[in-house]
Amino acid sequence: MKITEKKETDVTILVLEGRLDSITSPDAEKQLMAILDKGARKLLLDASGIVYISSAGLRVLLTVTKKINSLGGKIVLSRLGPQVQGIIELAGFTSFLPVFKTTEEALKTLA
Amino acid sequence: MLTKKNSLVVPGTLESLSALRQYTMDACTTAGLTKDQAYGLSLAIDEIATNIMVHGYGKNGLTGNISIVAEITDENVTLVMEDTSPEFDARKLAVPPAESLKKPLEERPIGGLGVYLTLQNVDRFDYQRIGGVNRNSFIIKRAKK
Repeated sequence: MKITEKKETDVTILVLEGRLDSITSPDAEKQLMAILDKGARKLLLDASGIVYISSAGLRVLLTVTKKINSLGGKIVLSRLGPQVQGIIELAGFTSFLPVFKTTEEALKTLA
Repeated sequence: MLTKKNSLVVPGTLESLSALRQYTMDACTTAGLTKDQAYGLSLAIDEIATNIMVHGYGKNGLTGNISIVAEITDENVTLVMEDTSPEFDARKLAVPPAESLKKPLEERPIGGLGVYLTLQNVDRFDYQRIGGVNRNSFIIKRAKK
């Protein structure tokens, strides 16, 4: 999983690329937690490059969402592919992890 | 008509997931499954194989193989995956009921979604223990032409 970090005012945009499965998830979780440790509190995960997510990847999203919420921050997802979005919805994550079609819409809710 | 692909046998370790995935995707392509069906079947194989590798073999201090074979008929694609780790019927794992999937963030447990995703993404999932072998069967219905 490749994670590229960008800043848009106080929002940290993370562009995720690759698979989020049992092989890649431990490293992805470490990278995301390190970004929170550096002080990021508004996270936008641009997921257009995620080609696959399994329960291991869902676990990472849940762990990071719980952590950022406990720190008083916010996290949203944008630009999910149809299959990945289907899995996120099936898991019932969209009630606490909002999903937006575009980065612009996602940024507005974090403003 | 029945098409049976040659079986694949891999070591029961996480490094083998990509080979199992490739085998599954090849079977999906041969059968002409939709993208959604192929994703679902690949996910189901991934979840159950990961359980076997991590829990069946790994946490029990065991090593062993996983075999997979695909059968394609006019109606179905069936993938049969076998391993020799201790008996484990994934269907008996508590699958999150609909209410637990609606729980707020603070009450959502970390984990426990793998078997749920498996069952949701195939048309049928079967388990048998035969001799010392776990046999997990994954069935997807092919679209009628």
